[in-house]
Amino acid sequence: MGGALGGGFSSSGGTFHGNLNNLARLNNVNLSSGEQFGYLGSGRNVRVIEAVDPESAAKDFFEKMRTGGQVTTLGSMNSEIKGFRVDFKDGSTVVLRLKSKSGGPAISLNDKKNINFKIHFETISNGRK
Amino acid sequence: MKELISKGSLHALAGIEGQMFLAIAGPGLTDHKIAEILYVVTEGKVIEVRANLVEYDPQENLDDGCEMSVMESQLAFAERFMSEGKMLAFNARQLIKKITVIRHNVKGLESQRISLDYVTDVAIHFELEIGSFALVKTSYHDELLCVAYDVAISEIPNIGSRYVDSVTEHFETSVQALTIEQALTEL
Repeated sequence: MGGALGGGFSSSGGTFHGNLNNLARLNNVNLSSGEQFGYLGSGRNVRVIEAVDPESAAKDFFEKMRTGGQVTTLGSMNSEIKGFRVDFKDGSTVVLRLKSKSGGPAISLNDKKNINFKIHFETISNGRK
Repeated sequence: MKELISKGSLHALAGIEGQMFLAIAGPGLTDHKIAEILYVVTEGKVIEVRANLVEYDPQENLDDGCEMSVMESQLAFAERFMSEGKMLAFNARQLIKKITVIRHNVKGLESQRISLDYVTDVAIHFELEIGSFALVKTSYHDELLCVAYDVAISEIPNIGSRYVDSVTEHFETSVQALTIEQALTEL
């Protein structure tokens, strides 16, 4: 995983779709053929990625998605940080929640057009990857 | 499933109708006019508008939701962010003439049966003497609000949704614009 999470603009000029495509390439996911990250979860457009360390996997995914966006803390009014969000110039957003109802972290991606899904990061179970 | 603005929130909104609008401020209010919490500052009162994440039981086959809430607040809270420049003052010093709640009803149809009946308040529109602004959910599923300036009620920006047509399921969305009084009677 990259550097520590925090506020401010990311250093290089990535875009939401550019970052997503890079992540897909790194993970051998062919988005143009309809393939998606992880496997289908129990909700609509909810995906699940299993990892030995779900927190690190989620933060790593987020680090790669945040490039070129403006990062802000979620829950900044309270002492507990709930997560982080990234805003891109085209209005797309990425939200990392450190804890979700399923227990582990989750990332929501929304480009206000075609892409709107959530990924839960869970501990590897039943030999599923 | 219903995510309606509550009675208490509607009364808080009613409290700033007729007041002079001064600014919108909020923690994490970015250049993209997006924040979790927004303060609407008027000459006499301040309200705090939030979008609260609602996580449903996945067994219900529902995605996360988001409920808008409004409460009276204090100028001191808003001033913290105003002093940091996290504020918008476009259309300032105009009276708030009318407040409208924008409600979506999303119906899912699958094999001729209703697979989803989802009613959610997605935006609050503030009509000023000159101009307007709206606080709008960025998505049905995330706890984020964006500020849209000078939009007519019919031009409220698209709300991100995971309820999209598939081979087996079709979704229809109807939009209602309600005055505060109408929203109160529908609770």
